[in-house]
Amino acid sequence: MSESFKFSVNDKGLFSVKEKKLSLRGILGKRARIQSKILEAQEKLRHWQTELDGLQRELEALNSPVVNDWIQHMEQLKLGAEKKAQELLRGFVGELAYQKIQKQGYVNFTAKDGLHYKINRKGHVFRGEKQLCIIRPSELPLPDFVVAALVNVRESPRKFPLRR
Amino acid sequence: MVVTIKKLGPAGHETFNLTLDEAQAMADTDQGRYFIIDEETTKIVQEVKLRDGQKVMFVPVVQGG
Repeated sequence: MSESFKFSVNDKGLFSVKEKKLSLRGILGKRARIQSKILEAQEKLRHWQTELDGLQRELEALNSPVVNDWIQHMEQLKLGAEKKAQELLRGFVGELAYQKIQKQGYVNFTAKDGLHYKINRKGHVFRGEKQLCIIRPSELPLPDFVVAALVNVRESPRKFPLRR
Repeated sequence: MVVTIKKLGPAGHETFNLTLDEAQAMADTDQGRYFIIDEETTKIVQEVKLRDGQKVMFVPVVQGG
């Protein structure tokens, strides 16, 4: 395409007129570019449609009764484990200390280093006001972790550094 | 007589009723990974020598951060 200016004069003044020449090559080229952009857009559309279909299928599968039943089963197991763990904690620390943990949120104990410690119902152990850094083993029910933290600090108190 | 072991784990504790030999073998295998606690005294079992009729807990050794 090439551009040209023409001028016309009439009683109202001088006017410029811009003209574009559409060559055969220019028209064919522009059509080819538009066609190419359409193909590219269609390709992207297909890609995202496939992506969307895949995600929908995956979500549908994750919502299937088999998965839901399994989740329910695992939640029941977790609940059972939690209940068992509460009983174990009660048996281990004794009724009095167990009630103290439930009501006051913590119980005191003395470790092998002769120092006094405090453990709360989340299994956080404190030397004075400072909390010890203890890594909770994955998936251990919380009351079982309280027992584990208590036993571990009681037996090896110096193994656990203070949290910064 | 049996030895009753409560072993703490991800699904809550599991209870095992084992003969003394079986229980001792389990204790020997898990030594270092678990504290072995007498349920009655809540004290650690010294030298990991179990007794017939004893009730013990295997409490996992946890790490400091």
